[in-house]
Amino acid sequence: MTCKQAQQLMSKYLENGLQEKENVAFRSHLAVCPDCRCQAEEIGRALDFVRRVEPPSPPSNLRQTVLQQIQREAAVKRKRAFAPGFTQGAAAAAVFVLLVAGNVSLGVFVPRMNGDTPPVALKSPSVVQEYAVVPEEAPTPATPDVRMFANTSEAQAEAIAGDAGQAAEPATGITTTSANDSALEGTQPGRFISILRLALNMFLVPLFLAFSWQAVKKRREAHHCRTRQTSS
Amino acid sequence: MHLDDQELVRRCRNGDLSSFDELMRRYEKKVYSLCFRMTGNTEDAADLAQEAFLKVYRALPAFRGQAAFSTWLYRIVTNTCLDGRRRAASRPTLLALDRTLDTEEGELTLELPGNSPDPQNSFLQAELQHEISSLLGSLPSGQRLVLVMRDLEGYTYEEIAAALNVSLGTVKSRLNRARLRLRALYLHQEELSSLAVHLKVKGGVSHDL
Repeated sequence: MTCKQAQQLMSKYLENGLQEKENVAFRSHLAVCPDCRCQAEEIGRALDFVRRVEPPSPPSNLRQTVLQQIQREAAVKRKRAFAPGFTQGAAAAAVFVLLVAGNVSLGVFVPRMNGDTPPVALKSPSVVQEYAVVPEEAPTPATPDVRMFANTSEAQAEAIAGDAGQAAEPATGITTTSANDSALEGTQPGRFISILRLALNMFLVPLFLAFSWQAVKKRREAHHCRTRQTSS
Repeated sequence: MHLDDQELVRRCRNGDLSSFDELMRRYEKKVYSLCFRMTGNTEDAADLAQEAFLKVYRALPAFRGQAAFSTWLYRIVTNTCLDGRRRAASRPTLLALDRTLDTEEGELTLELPGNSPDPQNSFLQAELQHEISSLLGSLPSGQRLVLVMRDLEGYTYEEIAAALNVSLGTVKSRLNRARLRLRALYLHQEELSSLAVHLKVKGGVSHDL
């Protein structure tokens, strides 16, 4: 056997993996070759040395520690899954509520002043009848009532004034003028409220859109992060 | 009832932590031993083993089952060991014995291994362990890993090749180089200690070495 052949068997020899025939041939080579003998012997000694300390048993809390860490991470993950974009979403919802509430409350006042919304107009005829009778008996005291009425519906008020004018001639002049007066009074706050409403919408709608956009963006980012984490 | 690894993995992925506990119970000895041989001390070994198991758990959803669970596990463990060694190299290893350590679990007082029933023996064991790990530590980490896996932990060549994602031939040649290097390092150390003994006998200057 040559040294080259012996070197190829060296590994198996060190691992006690040589077959009977190989073992005999290898050992007879070692007997005549001091280089190979030294190498085999010295590697064997070095390996015996590093094998002298057995690794201890794993610490008893090893598994427990890992499980606790897993649970801690799961809790953090749950929290994160809930958090991204949540505040922005809540803000957007709040702005939306404000927007709806603002428009509804302003919208209720405005038609009463302008008097061109059907709900009020539908209600009025019975009220109209009542007030229409009043000028017949007492023309002068009727004025404030008609004026109040004119606040709710000026167009109707004119019609009534016309009706009432046939029954009580003296009252007509007063009624029409007061109707004109109250028409002026009615449109001023009406315009003011429309401007207020416009301002409110101009402020709140972009705010709502901005918050919604932020919320969606945050959620998407979080989702991307999570998919990237799992894929890597 | 004995479930195979594959079944336990499936249960883990459905969120069953007790199945993961069982998987860890099956492999903790092998994983911890490998980590111990790679680090040379119990604390770092425990840290590495924990880290490796955590990585395994986190990566479970990505485990497709093309290879055996054990092969996949060893791959993660060996990677963790190699990373751990890289990190350990850039970290101071000296600790003061007269000061307490602030850890997550409160204050810790360091003690020399001397409170065990046989202090003399355990001191010698610690000394020996120190010598062994410094010897193994002088090997390049790739060689150390192969040598530890094959000659100390008894993994098969196939297991090592799969864990390190290299060919069988690479494992064999790396192991060969590792053994030759270990032999050289061992002889050098032997020479030094025999020289120390020699000097001690002659005139007691060993403390200079």
